[in-house]
This record gives sequence, C-alpha cells and structure tokens, in this order.
Amino acid sequence: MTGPVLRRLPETLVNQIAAGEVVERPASALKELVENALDAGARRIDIGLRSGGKAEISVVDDGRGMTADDLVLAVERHATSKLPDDDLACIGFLGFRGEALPSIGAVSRLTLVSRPRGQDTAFALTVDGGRLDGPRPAAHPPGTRVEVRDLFHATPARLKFLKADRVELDHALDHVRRLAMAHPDVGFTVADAGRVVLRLDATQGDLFEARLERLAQILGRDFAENAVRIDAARDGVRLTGFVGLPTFNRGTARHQYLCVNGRPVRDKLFLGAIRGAYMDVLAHDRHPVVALFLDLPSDIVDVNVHPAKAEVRFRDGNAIRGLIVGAIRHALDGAGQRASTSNTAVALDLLAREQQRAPAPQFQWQPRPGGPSPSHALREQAAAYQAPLATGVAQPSARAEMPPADAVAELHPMGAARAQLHGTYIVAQTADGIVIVDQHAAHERLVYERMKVELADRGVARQMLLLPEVVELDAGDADRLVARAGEFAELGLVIEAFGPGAVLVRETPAALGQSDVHGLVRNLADELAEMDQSLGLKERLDHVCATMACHGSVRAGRRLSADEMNALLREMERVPNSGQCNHGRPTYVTLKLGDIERLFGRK
Amino acid sequence: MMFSTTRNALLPLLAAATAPIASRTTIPVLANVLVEAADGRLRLAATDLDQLVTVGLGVDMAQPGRATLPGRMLHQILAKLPDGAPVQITHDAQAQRARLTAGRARFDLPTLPAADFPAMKAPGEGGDEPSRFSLAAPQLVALLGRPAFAMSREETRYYLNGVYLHRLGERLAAVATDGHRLARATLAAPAGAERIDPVILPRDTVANLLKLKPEGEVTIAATPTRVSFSWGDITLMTKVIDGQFPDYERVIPKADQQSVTARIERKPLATTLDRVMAVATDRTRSVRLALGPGAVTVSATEPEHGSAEDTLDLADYAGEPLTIGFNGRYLIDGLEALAGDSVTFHGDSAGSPALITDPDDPDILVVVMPMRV
Repeated sequence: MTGPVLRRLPETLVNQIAAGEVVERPASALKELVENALDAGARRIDIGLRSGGKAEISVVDDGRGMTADDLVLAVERHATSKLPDDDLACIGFLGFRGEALPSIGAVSRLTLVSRPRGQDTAFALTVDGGRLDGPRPAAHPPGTRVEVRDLFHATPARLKFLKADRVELDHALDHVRRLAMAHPDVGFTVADAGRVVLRLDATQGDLFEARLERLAQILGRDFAENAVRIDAARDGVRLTGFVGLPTFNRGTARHQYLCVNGRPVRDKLFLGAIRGAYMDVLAHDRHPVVALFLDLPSDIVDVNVHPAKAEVRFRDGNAIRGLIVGAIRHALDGAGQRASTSNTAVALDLLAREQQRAPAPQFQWQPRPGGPSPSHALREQAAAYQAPLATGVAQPSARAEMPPADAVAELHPMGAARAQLHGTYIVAQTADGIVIVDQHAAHERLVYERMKVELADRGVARQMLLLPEVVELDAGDADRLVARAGEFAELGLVIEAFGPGAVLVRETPAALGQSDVHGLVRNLADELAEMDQSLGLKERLDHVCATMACHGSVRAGRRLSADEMNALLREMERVPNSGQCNHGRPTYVTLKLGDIERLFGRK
Repeated sequence: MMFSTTRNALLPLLAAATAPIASRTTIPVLANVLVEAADGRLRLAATDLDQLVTVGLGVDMAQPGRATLPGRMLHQILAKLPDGAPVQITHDAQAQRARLTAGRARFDLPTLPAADFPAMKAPGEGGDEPSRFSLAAPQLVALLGRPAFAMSREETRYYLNGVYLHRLGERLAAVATDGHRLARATLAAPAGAERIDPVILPRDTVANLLKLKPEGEVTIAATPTRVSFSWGDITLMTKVIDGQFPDYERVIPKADQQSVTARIERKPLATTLDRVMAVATDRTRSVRLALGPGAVTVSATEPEHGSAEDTLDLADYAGEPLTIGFNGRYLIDGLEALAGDSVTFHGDSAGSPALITDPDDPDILVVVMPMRV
C-alpha cells in the first residue's frame, strides 16, 4: 500500500491557509483594507458593508492609487511597496508583508479599481477564488476602490463560524474606531446596507486638539471633559494621548486603546501598565478609559509578531512600562483637584429633579450672612430622620466663622469651609462656586496617602517562616516568579526555586499577618502570565494600608470645628489624588456659580 | 416527657452541654440541645457536627422521653430564674412544644424531634479499640492549654488549626504552630497511652475543653479519627482533623547548638515588651532585641508614632552580642505560656529561629521565628 505522497501545495491553497491567519473574520479583512488606504495617504475613507461585511465590504479612498501593473502585482503574495529597503527592522507603514490582498482574494470575490493621482484612466482587476481577471480599463476618480464579496465562500468551514451580522458589524466598527483614533486627520464613514452607522469628520488643529476632538467623536463628549492630557518622552520614545480621570471609570477594560506608531494594538504589557498606574485610585473591578499613542523609532519595536499585527514586542519592555505608568501617574497627580465633571452633572441633575417633584418649594429662606442654608434636598433628607427639624430649617452641624473666609476662598482651590452638614459633609465656598466634601472619604484618602509614603520610606518588615511553604505551580509559572524574586523581596515576599514547578516561600510581608500564602503566590503567578507584571502583592499591602486608613480617619457623623474643616481642605489641596477615595469614588463635588444659577433659572 | 429539678442543678450542666452550639447555623437542630429522660437520669447533648458534649444528672422523673429544645434560649431562661428555683419541664410531642415552669413563670418553647439530632459515634464504637488512659485535670489542661496560643487561624493550612497530640518517646506531647511560632508541652505518658495514634485536635475542641474546666480525673479515649474526654458527668467527644501535621521536630533548634544563651526574667521581659510596643501600633508589631552580656535592650521604631527603648538586666549570658527582630506579640504570647520566674533564650543569628525554654520546667518550649525589620 502506498502512503500519502509529499508534494508542494497549489498556490490557491497556500493563499487560503495564509488567509486563515490574516483574515479571521470580515472585520480583519476590513482592517487590512483600511490600513492599505491609510498607507496610500488617503484623507478620506468611505466604507460600505453588507451583512456586517459577510456579504460585501467596500473601501473607497482618495489615496495615491495604483497603475495597471501595480494592480496585478498587488494581488500576488509577498508583493508590497511598503518595505522599500527590504529591512524588517525598519517598518514605516502599517502593512509590510504583502499578504493581505492575495489572502483575501483567495477566499472571496475581490475587485480592485484604481486610478493613480494625475492620470486619466482607471483600471479594474477581479480575483475570484484565486483566479485573476483583468486588468481592464474602467471609470473611477483618483484613488482606489476595493470590493470584497462573499468572503469565505471558498472556505465554507470558516463561514460557518462567523457570528450574527450585528456582532460582525461591531467588530468591524471597533477596528475602524481604533484606526481612526490614530489618524484624526482622516475622515471616515461606515455604512451598513446603505445606512451610515459611523461618521468621523477629519479634525483640525494641532495634534492634541485634533486627537481630543477625534476621541470625543468616538468615546463621547464625557471622555473629552474628564480626560487628562499625556505628553511624555524618554530616550526617543514619545507617549501622547489622553487618560480618563479615576472617577470616570468603567466596568470593563475594553475602553483602553493603545496605538504604537499609528498601529492599534492590544498588548498585555500595556494593559498591565494601565492597571499599575491606576492601582491605588481605582477599585479592583473598575477600569479607566485611556487612549494612548506611542511613537518610537521602528528599530526598537517588533511589529512582526502576530499575523494580524495585534501584538507588538518592545526591545525594552520595562522602559516602556515605566514610561506609561510614570506619565499617567504624573498627569493624574497634576489633576488631583479635578473630580470628574460627571459628578457635578449628577448632583445638578438630582437637585433639578427634586425641584420638579416639589412644584411649590417651601423655601424658608433665612438671610444669614454667616453660613448658607442647606439645600432643599438635604433638608428633606434631614427631615426624614431628624423629626424635630421637620418644621424648621436644619441647622448646620457646625458653622465656620465668617470674617477671613472670603479672602481664603479667593486664595485656595478648595475654598473656605462654611458649614458642616449632618456631621458628614463640609460645604466650602470657593472663588467661583461651592465645594461639598465627604469628610470621611477625604480624610481616609489623606491618611492612606501618608501611609503609603511611610511604607515606601521604611521598607516592608518580613516575617520569616518557621515552616517554609512549598507552592506547586506549573514550570512556566514557577520560572516567571523566580525571575522576579528580587522585586518580590523588596515587598517582603522571599521565594526561591524548589525543583521544577514549585517555589519555596521563606518570608512573607509581616503586615499581611497570617495569610493564605498559597493563594497569594498563585495569584501572583497568574498575573505574571496574564500581564507580564504582578501587582497583587502591592495591592494586598495597599489594602492593609487602606483598611488601617479607614480605621484611622474621621468618621462620618463627627462634628468638626471650622479650623479642623479648613485644615482638611488645605491638606486635600496639598496631597495628590485626594479627589477620589480609595475605591475611586469622588471625595468632593464642585458646583460652579453658573451651575447654581442655572438651577434657579437665572441663566 | 416530664421531669423536675432545680435551676442550680441544671444550669452549670446545661452551660457545659451547650458549649458547641454555634451562634449561627443553617441546620436548625444544631441550635438545639437534646434532652433525654430515662431511668431517673437526664442526659443533655449538643453538637456542631465536629464535637459533641453530653452531660448527665439525676432528676425527679415523672415520665421518660426525648426532645430537642433551643439551647441558647433554655440557658438564658435558667440563668435569669431566681437562685435555687425549682424547675419543671414538660414536653408535648404532639404539639412539638416544651413547657418550662418555675414558680409562677411559664415558658413555652418550640422543639424539634429528637430523631433529627445527629448521632455521633464514640471512639472505638464499631471500629478499632481505642487507647484509653487517664490524666489529672490540671495535667491535661497544661498539656493542651499551654501550646494552644500558637494554633493557626488561617484555613488553607487546615492541619495547623489545632493541637497535635502524639507520643514522643516515653512522653506524651502536644504541639501547635501557625508557621511563625511553635509551642510544645510534654508530660510523662500515663499507662494506657503507649500506643496512642497521633491526632490533631481541632481548635474549637481545645477551646471548649479549656472553657469547660475539667475537674478530677479525666479519662481519654483516642482512635485515629475520634477522641473523647470524660470527667464527672461530662463527656466531650470530637472528630480530629484529617491531615498530616508537619514534621515539626527538625525546626526546633537544639539548645546546645545555639551560639547565644541568655537567662532573662520572664515577667519583666513581657512587661518591657508590652511597654515598648506602645509605639508599635503597626500591624507588624515589630520589636528589636539587642542582647548582650548583662542586659537586653528592647526597642521599637515607627516613623509616625515615634520610637521607644527600654533595657532589662539579665543574669547569665553566653556568646557574642546579638540583635534580632521579632513580632513582639509572638514573644509575649510565648512568655505567657511559660510559668517560671525566668526563661532561657537560645538564639544563633538574626535569621534563625529562637528557642525559649524554662530552666526549671523541661516540659514546655516555645520557638519564635524572627522578623526582618
């Protein structure tokens, strides 16, 4: 009996196999085509989809276009204009492998129509399941039009695994948004079955203005109002972009975007760095919204790692991580006095609704120069559990003395304390509005920040173990942990290798007391595998600080004197990150005079 | 079921019987105490499924029977009755109610069927013949109670959540450790304990046993899975922790191989540690001991709370001066487990375990692992 014979695979099959890697779903085909358009210098890209791209994808650009000869070459494998020096170490374009078009051509009916700038004729070329037809003259304005019909008709197995139209459309839009973020000067439209579902006009202005405008188009106006600008450079690497304030957070990490040299990537180094940067201003299960752009010389980054180029490798990952974490922390520290504007909006909205519900508000306005009367809403709350006050006006729990207050208000961003309400909230008057501070949350944060500084100054005390613990892991996890043993030791956890696939724990951070060492080590190993860095230990130590801070701070319900209130406000101004408590909730809300005037219909 | 007795006869035994009842349980009958009346005797029992306490007492019996009554509530009622009050309990099986009358006071309590009460086999019942031996109550309390402070509370290493009772040569030894410190008490093995299998007594059992304050002679029956302690009318029966206690002997430093030996007065050292730790409010409670000929200096430094230092004379010192950090709480716990006027501190380096012994009592030792401050 003769066995299978070795033979060279036919070209169409080779292309179909390549397509399996490059073109995972309609969205990835679309991504390749849009990248081609961007590489061709397009200013405007119009995308048409049918059935989420399963039935048809068309991309029309106004880029430099291709000649008839170019068209033929373009659909051949490994034909590209984007590696002029044949140097994979220097990749200046989004594409470079010359795989996309032939791969798409191998699994669909592909039509290319193109007219180079400054020429009169356009040419068209069709590829159907790998068979070429053309080029033949055609009518088309300068630029290129690519149409992909019946994607995967040549590979029915793949076709079966595609999701519903809606899902495929979402994927396609996601890719377009990511690319559009990196190219704010290019206009994009996406139409699905003739209906425009995304329209991003080309933006004007300098890099930051244009990007912020584009980010606002994509992530919403809220983001633009709650974002802090990032601009940092180190050793030829420049990091720009915008990051959301901690109080502007989401439940998933999906809204974290990174572009490396204009190429959208999802990278675990990046996700880990983001988590590290926001670690102590956000609760474990909340995620910030960020859009960052990394520009670096192409010889220190390898983009040729992933078939769809979704991942990159950096020559010095630690330096990049350090740059990202440092830049974000610095920016957030600078924004320490900004709580998210959405909080103000929420507060105003609540007050406004309260008014609508009570059409004849029974304000018993008492002119009192010393302190403002509590708001209607607060008074109603007071009435709910302070029965004797139901008929009158709730007295502020404490009242700040008047005379120097105005001068103070002018000088300090957090203003001068005017009153304490319900023993819990401090109301302060600022130069252009009022600030309401949650005294417990604010003080907790201040104590926490102080403890962290102490922990960093003093180092971590380590309790040695009488019975060192052996933690069984898989070999890769154990190696990764041991490779970072030095880092862990600084945080108080001393581990060493213990044969293949196990580590021996000799000392643990004393502050953790008696804790589950196995669980801790496994968590750290998982985090290393997932994000290439490990915050679990630091987080646990910080959690100890946070718990102690909670116990060591003034409680809600405690009356404060005017001096105490002002001291708290002054310290909040001094300490970075005092705008949110340890769980990412705001510690204070600002109401501008304008906002208050709007409430009263004065504006 | 109907019987009469007095508050004073019933209360202490009921308090003992209800010791295992947990404050919250998802199985209703575990909150109840089993009351069985037969042959002029009353038997009370309560369990948390891991341990079972039974007590017996003679009563005036009108009618035998069994039922389970709410344990905590019954205890509270009895505690609030006047001293010496006569008590009568009547159970109406049909209505599932029990009535307690004392003078003109009357309480109706809900009951659950006695059949629901979980049974627990006594050691050796339907299995191996248990080792049986007896110890005077103070000896047993010292054996299990002195090392008990070192039991772990951390649940992943469940086999450390108790006291390890085992044969050590000609002696019976009880050991507890939480991985940071260790304590061991021993005594000459009594007759009958020659072949006792090693067992880990759960921390709740040890705590309950100490709380019940055994008196007189305590009889112990032990199999590899169950142990019972009986004295007077009370029996405490427990399952043991199914696990392997670590090979602890190799981590106990050999006293004669330590480079530093110091004899220090026990109580003054504990109070000095406590005093210095006034500034160590940190969770780590770290203190530093600078030992040298003639004196030991105890110090603590907390950036936020300041620093403290105190010096204590010591009698005998052998070896080079040694500075070593500890969790001060661990040291104080260890010192409290010892009873003599002075202790001997054996140490080798700032990175190796310290051994604390009583020069007059070879039956107890404490090992504390240092802290790197």
